Amino acid sequence: MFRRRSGFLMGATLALAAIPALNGIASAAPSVPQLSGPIAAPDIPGASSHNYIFFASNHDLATNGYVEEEYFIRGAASIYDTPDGKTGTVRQSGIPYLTRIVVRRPADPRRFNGTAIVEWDNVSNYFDAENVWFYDWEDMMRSGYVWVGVSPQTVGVAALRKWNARRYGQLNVGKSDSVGPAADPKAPDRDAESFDIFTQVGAALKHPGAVDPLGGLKPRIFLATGESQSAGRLATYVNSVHPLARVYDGFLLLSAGTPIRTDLISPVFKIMAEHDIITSGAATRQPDTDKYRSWEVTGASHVDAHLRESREPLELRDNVTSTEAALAPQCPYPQLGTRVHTDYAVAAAFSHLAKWAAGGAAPPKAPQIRVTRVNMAPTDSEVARDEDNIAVGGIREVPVAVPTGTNVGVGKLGLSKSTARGESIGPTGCIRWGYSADFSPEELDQRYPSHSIYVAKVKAATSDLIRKGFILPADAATTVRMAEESRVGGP
Amino acid sequence: MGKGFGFLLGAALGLMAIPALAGAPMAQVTGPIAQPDVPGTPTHNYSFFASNHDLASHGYVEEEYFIKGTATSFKTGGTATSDVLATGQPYYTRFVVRRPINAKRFNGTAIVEWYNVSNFFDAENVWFDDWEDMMRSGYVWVGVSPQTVGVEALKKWSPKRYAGFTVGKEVAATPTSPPRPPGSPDLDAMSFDIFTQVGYALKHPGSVDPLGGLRPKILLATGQSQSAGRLATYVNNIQPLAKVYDGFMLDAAATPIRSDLTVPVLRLMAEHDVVTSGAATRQPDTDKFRQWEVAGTSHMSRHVRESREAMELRDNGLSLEAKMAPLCATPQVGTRTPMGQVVAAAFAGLSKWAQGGKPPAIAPKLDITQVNKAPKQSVVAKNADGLAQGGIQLAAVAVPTQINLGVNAPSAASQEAGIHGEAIGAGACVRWGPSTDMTVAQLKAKYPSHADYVAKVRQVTQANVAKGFLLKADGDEQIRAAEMSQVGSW
Repeated sequence: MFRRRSGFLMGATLALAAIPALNGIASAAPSVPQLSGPIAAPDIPGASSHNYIFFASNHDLATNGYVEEEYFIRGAASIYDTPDGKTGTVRQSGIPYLTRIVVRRPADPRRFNGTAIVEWDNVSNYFDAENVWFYDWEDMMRSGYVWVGVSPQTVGVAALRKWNARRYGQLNVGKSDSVGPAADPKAPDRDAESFDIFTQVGAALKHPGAVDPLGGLKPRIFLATGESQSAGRLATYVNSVHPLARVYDGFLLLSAGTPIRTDLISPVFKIMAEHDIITSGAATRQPDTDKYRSWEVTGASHVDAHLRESREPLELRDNVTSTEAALAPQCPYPQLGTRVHTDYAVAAAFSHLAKWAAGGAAPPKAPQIRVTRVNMAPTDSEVARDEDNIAVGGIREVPVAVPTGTNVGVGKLGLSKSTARGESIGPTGCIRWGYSADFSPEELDQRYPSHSIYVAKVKAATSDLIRKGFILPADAATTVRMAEESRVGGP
Repeated sequence: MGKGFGFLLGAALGLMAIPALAGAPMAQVTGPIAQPDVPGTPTHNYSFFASNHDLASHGYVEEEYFIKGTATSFKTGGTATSDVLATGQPYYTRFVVRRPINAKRFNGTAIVEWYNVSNFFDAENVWFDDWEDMMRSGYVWVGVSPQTVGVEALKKWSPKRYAGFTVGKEVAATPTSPPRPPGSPDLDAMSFDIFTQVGYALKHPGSVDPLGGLRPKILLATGQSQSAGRLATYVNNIQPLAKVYDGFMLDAAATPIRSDLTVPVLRLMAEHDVVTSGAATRQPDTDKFRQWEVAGTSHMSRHVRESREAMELRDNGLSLEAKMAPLCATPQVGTRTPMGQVVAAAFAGLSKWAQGGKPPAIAPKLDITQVNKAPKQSVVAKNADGLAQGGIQLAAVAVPTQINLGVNAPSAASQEAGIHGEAIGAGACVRWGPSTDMTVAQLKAKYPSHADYVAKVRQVTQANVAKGFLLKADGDEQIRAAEMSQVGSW
């Protein structure tokens, strides 16, 4: 991955981005994006004047040795034609943009593990949401990653402008101010520049100019990631843009059914929740190769309880409402979000992917969820379930392997007919949140005749997960400790 | 204690009652009331604020019971034992039980909490600060709804489930109700006797045993803030007559307490509480009274918010804290000094004390440099970081990585707009003291090495454990968190 380093700017993004628009490589320089920052954030997060970073972390980053900073990036982007599964072509270049990136990084270079994770913020709920961070923030800081969130899409940027016109009023990506539901699928992509913006952010991180957004940290590996809607865009990026841009060293796509080209030049790691397999992914499974891995997490909903717990305090602080709280009563089973620790699989996956992208061994292969009938979306596929209604096969984190409740990846369609806020958070949102139901005390007693039997089962399951590479040792230790501190099976 | 079976005649009913007693039936308990709905279902056929924790994996079960009877109302105030105002007034309300399933898990103490209704719904604020230890240590917890505001909110929330509830004058106060003039009759005059009767029903179950066969050795009454205020009245005016509870843990109430106590009273005061009112009403520690003051704590903690907000969102559809925070001078509301862990230690100490063991340790008081009478705030000495001096100093304050201050205020903009809502809205900001992180640069200056930081945390924490201001399990957890942090690893 180092091979591209210094030659990159000329050889990849800028060349492509710029040649058509600038009549020749000699004038490529003006397209080097300009970074400014860190942008002052004088307000304490939550202040109604909003002069702080939207969704500034509510965790005590300093005691984790982390700092958080926001930068603005200005440049001119190309737009691509992105034929399904094929390398794209530049359609137009030189379209000006101004957007923001957020960096969370170790303050001390000795804490940095060498990998920068660059996340494409999810905008399905009409605001920027770093869903992968929300899944995996504990390990990102524990293991010493740099995390960067990028706002390449119209919907997210328009929400930022509305949230604080003074701080973000100049931001501009794409062509529309609309924050409404997605346009007609056949309409032109109003976020056509998003791919090149994402490339240019990566390039700017790799080759900082006067403003170094990573504070002197020099990542060896850049991994691109996104969840759901963002993972879908990154799938397009992998297929059509990455062969041209070659900025990122690997991709972790969390929950996107999009087929991925088979002649990959960089590793692509796809993680699919049980929900994702049932609602679309079963029909688009692809074989694992030396550049492609797919893991399927049993019992996992598309968005889960841990994501909600990480994100909701920020929604309440910065948006004053919780999309989840508004959604829950519309759902037939209002205890939204599964609790199977998809985050542990995500943390393990980043650890594997970082090594793989650096030329190390490919990640372990994982068993697939047992699909008994494949259907094409929007018809759900069917999966085999055990007597607890837990799906069979797949990656079985401890809450599924040694259950104390049932977690089902797919919820039922909501009761309300309201589509006031569209697909993403209207009643169809219920499907994506799945549900989680605890076993009764009687069921627990029946299943685990003693506490030591329960703990032994958890230990055996975590050992197995460590051996297979589906959980990091630190998360396994936490899992065992929680089991020991529980009263399952005991008086 | 020692009231045993003769209680009905000898104590609560005795006094409330001799006139009314002739034929007064014992309170009738029904339940457990079925909860067919999954919590969060809009039809609301489950217990309001049903726990969102996985109680079964803690070995706990949650059940709701209804209690119906007739109550006496008392003339209350001051520190002398009460006179009866009226008797035989019918009431019908609920209590919620969270208890170990297995008797072997039960530690013998039942904590009976008087729901706080300051926000116009029943809120078990003591549970919300201390639920982890309540289940870890094997307490029975019971929440009681003795007040009009809470009961009216329940009826509104689920008219079918809570139909017929009544605990007093059916006046549904709301956040916008005008304040009642001083000297108005107490709308909740029956609340004290209802609280007595619930305790009695727990001790002497009839055909319905709400504790599923568990036999508490002692009953401790508790409440936070508004509820602690009512319990202070209970301690002063009612307890000498009722004698059902074996001890009281009053969390944040400045009300003066009578000095001739017959059962132990442990009063826990946040820095906020001392500064805003308690400095002027301090009392000496005695063999029946303890006051613990905790530096760096607001009236409402971040932990209470984190425990309660999920329930508010689920059952009320909105978070009062989220609405209030932007109105406050520092919008990061609620201190993160782990007050809930001191609550846990207080219950452990009080349990032993109430069973005849030795009283909990006397705690150093906050260093108050100027005492003022409410509403004027008293002044507490602060160190260079702005942190309060004296009192119980947990590691979060003695070895700080955050600035936790007891008292917040409405923002300038809110003050300009006029402060509305003492209980909620900008008027509540004062109670939600701010908590902000130190920066990496500040931490670097303060803690040159990780080992040094961890050693300091360990020393302070172990001293607090030795004094009984913290339980060992919580102390170990604090030390572990310090070890896992990166503070000093620069």
